[in-house]
Amino acid sequence: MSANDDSVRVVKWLSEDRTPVKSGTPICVLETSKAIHEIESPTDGFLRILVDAGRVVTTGDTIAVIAASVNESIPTPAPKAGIESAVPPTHSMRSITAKAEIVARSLGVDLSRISGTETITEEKVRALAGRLETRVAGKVVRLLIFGGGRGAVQVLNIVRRIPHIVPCAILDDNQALKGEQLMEVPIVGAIGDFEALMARGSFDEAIVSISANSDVRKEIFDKASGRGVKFANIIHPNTEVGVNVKLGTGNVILGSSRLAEESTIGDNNFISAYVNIEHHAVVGSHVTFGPGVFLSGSVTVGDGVKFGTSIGVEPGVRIGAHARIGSGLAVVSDVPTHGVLKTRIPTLRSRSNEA
Amino acid sequence: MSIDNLLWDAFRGMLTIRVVEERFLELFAAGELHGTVHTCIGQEGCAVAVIGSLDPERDTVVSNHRGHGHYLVHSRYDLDGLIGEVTGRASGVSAGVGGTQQLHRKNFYSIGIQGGLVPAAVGMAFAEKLTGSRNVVCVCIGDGTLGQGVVYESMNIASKWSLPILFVVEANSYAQSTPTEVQHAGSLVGRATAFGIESFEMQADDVAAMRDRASKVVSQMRVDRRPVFLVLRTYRLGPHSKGDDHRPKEELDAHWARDPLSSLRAKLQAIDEGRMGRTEQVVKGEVDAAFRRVLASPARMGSGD
Amino acid sequence: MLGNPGITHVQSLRNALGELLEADARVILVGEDLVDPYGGAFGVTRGLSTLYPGRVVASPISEAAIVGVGVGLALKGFRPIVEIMFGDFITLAADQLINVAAKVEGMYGGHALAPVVVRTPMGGGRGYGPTHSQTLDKVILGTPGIRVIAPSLFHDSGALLKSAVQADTGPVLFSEHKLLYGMGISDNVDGNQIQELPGLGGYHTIVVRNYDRGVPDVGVVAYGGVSRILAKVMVDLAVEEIRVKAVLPASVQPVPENDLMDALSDVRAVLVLEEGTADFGWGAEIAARLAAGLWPKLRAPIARIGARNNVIPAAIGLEAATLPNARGIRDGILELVHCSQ
Repeated sequence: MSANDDSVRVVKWLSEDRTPVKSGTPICVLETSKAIHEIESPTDGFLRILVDAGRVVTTGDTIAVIAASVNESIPTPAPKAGIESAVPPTHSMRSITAKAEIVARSLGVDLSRISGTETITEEKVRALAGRLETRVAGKVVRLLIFGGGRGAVQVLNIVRRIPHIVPCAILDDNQALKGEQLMEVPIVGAIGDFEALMARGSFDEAIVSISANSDVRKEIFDKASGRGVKFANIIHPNTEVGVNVKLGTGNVILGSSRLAEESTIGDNNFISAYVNIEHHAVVGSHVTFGPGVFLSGSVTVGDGVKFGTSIGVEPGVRIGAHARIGSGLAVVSDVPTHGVLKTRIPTLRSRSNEA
Repeated sequence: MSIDNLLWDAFRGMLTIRVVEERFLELFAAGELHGTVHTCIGQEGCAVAVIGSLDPERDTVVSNHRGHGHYLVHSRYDLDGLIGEVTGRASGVSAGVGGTQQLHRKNFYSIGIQGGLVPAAVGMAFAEKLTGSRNVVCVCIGDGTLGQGVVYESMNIASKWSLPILFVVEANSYAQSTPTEVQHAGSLVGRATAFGIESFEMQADDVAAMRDRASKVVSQMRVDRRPVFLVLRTYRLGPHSKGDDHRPKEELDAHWARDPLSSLRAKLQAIDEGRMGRTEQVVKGEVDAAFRRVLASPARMGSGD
Repeated sequence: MLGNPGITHVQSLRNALGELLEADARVILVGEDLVDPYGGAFGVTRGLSTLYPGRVVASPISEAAIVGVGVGLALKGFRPIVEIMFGDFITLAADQLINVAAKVEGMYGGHALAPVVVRTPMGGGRGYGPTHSQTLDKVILGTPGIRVIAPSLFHDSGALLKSAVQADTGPVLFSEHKLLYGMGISDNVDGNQIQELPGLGGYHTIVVRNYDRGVPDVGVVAYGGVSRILAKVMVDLAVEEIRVKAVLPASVQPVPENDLMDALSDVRAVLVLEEGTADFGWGAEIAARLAAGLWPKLRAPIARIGARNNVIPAAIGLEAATLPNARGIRDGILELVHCSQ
C-alpha cells in the first residue's frame, strides 16, 4: 500500500465477525487515495472486527484482531475524541459520524480543515464544501468570441452553464453588427481587432464560433494563435469526456456528445450535438461535424474534414484531410484526401407521375 | 322402490353416463375437444349404486379425476353443466376454469390430485359432526390412490375422531398403466381395518347388491357416525385418459364380455323389450340434445368475457 | 392499530385467539399439541382448550391432513385456525396449501370459498438447526389465491390475526416469528418514529423512521421478524446521522405497492431485507417492482440482504453468520449510502 496515505477507508469486510479465517485468506478491502487493496489475514484464528465498513482510519490504526478463540475478550480501541490526547487532533483522531465521512468522501472535502474538537457532523462537512465551491468560482476566464452569428449563439448557450467562463466580447466582420449586442454580449469590432483587444488585456481566452466554413475557422485560429492568443475549449457540461482523452484547444463541442476513452482531438474543431467519437479515434484540427455523426473506434480524420449530419463511420476507417462526407452516409472504407462522398438524394415524385 | 324399478333406474343412469363418456372420447378423437378426460366406462354401476344411495341435498360427495359418473348421479344428471365444463363453456359447472377434474356444484367437489381432497373430505365430515347433523360425506378414490400418504393420515383421523365418512375405493385393477398388484403390498381392506375402520369388499357387477350394501352402510353411519371403507372390485373398460391403453386385447375382450351395463341391458331387455327400446332412445336423445345445446354456445375466451 | 406496547406478541396472539373463540362459534383451532397444559410448542394456545372445551383440537402429526381438514371445515362454513408447529414443516402440507386451499375459489369458478388460516412460526436465531429455523414463505409466494401475512416487531400480531380470521374470505398463511413471541410489541423503539399506512385488506404497513426531519438517506423494505434486528440497527445509525426509513408491510403477498411507492417517494436508495434466502426470494420481487416505480429517483441499484444460500447451521455462531445480522445490515446500509451520494 502507498506509504503516502495518512488515511484509508475500510470498504467492506469479507468475513463475518467471529468467523474462523486462515492465514492468507482475504478478509478486508481497503481503499487508499490511489487504489483498492485486499488485505489478507496474517495468521489462522477468529476474525474480530474493530472498525465498521465505511469508516476512515489513519494508517497505523488497528482495524481488526485475529484472535486465538472466538470469544476472547478484545479491548475496544481508545475513543477518538482528541481532547485528552497529547497529540494535536487531526481528523482521524476526532470522532466523526458515518454519514459525515461518507459525504466528505463523495464531495472531496479535506476533513482536516474542519476546526474544533467536537464530533464532525454532516452539516459541518457540507458547510465546508459549500465554501470551497464558492472559492473555485472566484477564478474567472473572460472569453472572446470570433464570429457573431448562429455559432456564437451556440457558444453562449454552453458558456452560460459554466460559471467561471464569462463571455466579454464578440468580433464579427459584418460592420452592421458593430455596437449591437448578442445575448447581452457586445459586438465590438471586426475579426482583425483581436490584436488591439489583446494588447489592452481585455480577454483571457478566445474561441472561434463559426461552424460552417472550416477554412475560415482555420484562418482565424492560425492567425490568432500565431499572435499568442490562448484558445479555450468550450464543451457543453453534459457532453461526456472519457479517461485519457487528449484535447487540443479552441474546440467547440455542443451537448449530448461523447469523446470516448483514449480518443484524440486536435484544435479548433466544431463538433455539433449527438456526436460520438469512439475510443482510440483520432481527429485532427479544423474539422466541422454536423449533428449525429458517429465515429467508431480507431477512426482517423484528417484536418479540415467536413461532415454533414447523420453519418456513421465504421471502425478503423481513415478519412483523409479536407474530405467532405455527405449527410446520411455510412462510411465503410477509407476516403482519400479531398475525397467527396455525396449523399444519395431520393427523387421526389410529383402527383402527375402517379396518375 | 321395487327391485325392477330400481334396476330400470340404474340402467338408465348407467347408460346415460356411458353415452356421455363415449361421446367425449369421440369428440376428442375428432380433435374437437382440448385437454384430457378420464372416463369411467365400465364403472358406471359404482357411481349409480353408491352415490345413488345418498341424499344429494344433505350429503357431500368428494370425487376424483374419473368423476363424471359421480357428478352426474349426484347432480341428478346435470348434463349441460358437465358437458359445458369439459368443453370449456361459461355454463360449465366450474365456469370452465376447473375442467373435467375439478367439478363443483353445491355439495360435490372433485380434484385431479390423487388423494388431494381426502383430508378436506374428512374436515367436512368433522364439520357435520360438530354441527350435530346426520349428514354423511362420501369420498371416492381409486386403488392407485392408496399409494398416497395423505389418505392414511385422513383415515387415521376419521377413525380416531369418529367421523361420518364413507371411503369408496373403485378398485379397477389399474393405476393408469400399472396393475394393482405391482403397487400395493398387503390387502386393500387390511389398510382400513388397521385403523379400526369397518371394511367391506364386493364385486361391482351387481348394481342392486352394491346399492343394497351402500344404503345399509349410509343408514348406519347417520346413527353411529363411524367411518366405513368400501372396496368395489370393478374394471376400467376405457383407457386411462385417451388412447393410452396398452392392455392385452384378450384381457380387454374378456372384460368387455362381462360389461355390467351389457349384462343389465340383456336382463332388462328380456323382461320388457319395448321399454328397453324406449329407454335407450330417450337417453340417447337427451344426451344428443345436451351436446348440441352446449356446443352451440361459445367457448370461453381470455380477457373480457 | 399500532398495538399495545407492553404486551408481548405471544400474549397478543393468545388474547386474539381467545376473543375469536369467544365471539364466533365458527372458530375452531386444530394442530399438534395445542391442548392444555402444554398449550402449543410456543405456548400460543395455552389456556384456550380449558376455557373453550371442544374448540381446540389436538391432531396427530399429520401436517397435510391438518391443513386439509382445515379446508374441509372452511368449506362447510367454519372458521378454522390451524397451526403448523414449525414453519419448516409447511413443506409437508405443500400440496394442501398450493393445490387445494389456494385453488378452491379459482378452480371452482368462484362458487366455493375456503377461509382457513394456517398459523406457523418461521425464523431462526436460537440454534434450532437446519430443519427448524427457516423462513419458508417463499414456498407459497407466487401461488395465486393465498395470502401470506407476517407481523413485524411493530405490528399488533393479534390484531392482524383477527383480520385474517374475521375479514378474509380466502386462505391465509399467517407467518409468525419465533423470536418475536417473547418480545414486546414495538420493543426497541428508543426514538424511532412510527407511522401506519393502510396496507391491503386490513393488513396495514408500518413505517419507522430514526429521524425527525429531513430526507432519508436510505429506505429499507422488510417484513416479519428480521425487523427486530433492523430496529436496533436504526437506533445505532441515528447517532451516526444516517437517516433510515423502514417500510414494513404486514401483507407479504399480495404486495401493497401503493404503500411502498408512497413511503419511498422521498428516498434515493433502497435496501430490501428479509430473513429468507435472498436468491429468488420476496426481496427479488420487491426490488423488481421498486426499480420500475422508483427508477428516475434512485441513485444506486437496489440492494438486497437475505440469508446466505446454504443450510442454516445449528452452531449458534455459524447460524448468526448465515442469517441476516446487525453488522451485515448496518454495513449494507452504510455501503448503500456511500454509493448513492
